[in-house]
Amino acid sequence: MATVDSELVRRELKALINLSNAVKNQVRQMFEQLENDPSVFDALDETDPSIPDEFENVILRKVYIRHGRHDYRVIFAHWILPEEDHVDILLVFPRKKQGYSIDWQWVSDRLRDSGP
Amino acid sequence: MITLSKETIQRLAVLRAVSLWEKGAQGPARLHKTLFFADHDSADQKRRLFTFKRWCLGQYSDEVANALNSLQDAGRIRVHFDGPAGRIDITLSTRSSDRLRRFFRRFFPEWEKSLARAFRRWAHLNEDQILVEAQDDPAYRQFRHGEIIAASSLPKHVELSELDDQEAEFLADLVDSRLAGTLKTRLRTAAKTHARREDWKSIYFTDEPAAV
Repeated sequence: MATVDSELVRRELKALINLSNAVKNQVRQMFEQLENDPSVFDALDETDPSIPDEFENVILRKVYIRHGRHDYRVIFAHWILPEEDHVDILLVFPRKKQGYSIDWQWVSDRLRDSGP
Repeated sequence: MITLSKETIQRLAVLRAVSLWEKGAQGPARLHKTLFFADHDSADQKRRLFTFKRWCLGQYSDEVANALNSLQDAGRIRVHFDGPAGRIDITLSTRSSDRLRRFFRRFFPEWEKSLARAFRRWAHLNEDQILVEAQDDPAYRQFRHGEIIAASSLPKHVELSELDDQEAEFLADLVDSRLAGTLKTRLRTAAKTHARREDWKSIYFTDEPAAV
């Protein structure tokens, strides 16, 4: 089991669940799985080596949220703690169709969005 | 159809080249020369990766320089000042280095072979030899300062039909200049906060009917 905190990405996740019911269901399933066992999600292939130097007991993992033309990733920190693990969701972003790179403009736009 | 951007491929190519030096490349000049001759002598001239011009120390590419800056931001290379020239080395696991090598062998095989030859020729010359030999090359002598010697033939997005999406994602993220820094910044913010459980259902799913 794990506690989950998504404060850093509230706007991004709210934008995601507004895309479609299918995406919304995947986000819900993601939260449920993060609480049950975050280790089912794959660790990032290659992490900056300074991260384990600076932070103990943390693994960065990735979730795929995909349906139709919607192709998003959610990256979270999985803290391995003595009593109960903890998850901080760090980043949510879409992939560009052309070039397959991260759409940072979408991330910046969410940071500028105002509202509840 | 999977595509990778020209910038991604250029960054990967610079990373691939730097990875050949076990103890790091002594100074960017030899890296520029090695990459120039990898392109110049490749049997596949339809896949020239970089645009080079004649510049102060010989063949120089703004694209190689941009790639080095991006790789530094991505945390993939470090520069150590432990000699007269900055020594550039990579921070990459063996597994990822192998994936990088397999990518170029598969999708840019002639360039990869030419890189190996160029590395053998240029990698360990001293700075004087590099300057003399590079400027002796006919491809250099016939151009004026600032003039383009050879242009990249890569389109803005390169089609790689047999590349699977997982590999494309790995490669694009490997050299993304913002990902490492963003993750570290957000990790630092998260680490300052005591672990707490949020009520995500009420935050994100309040419009759903309650279970009976």
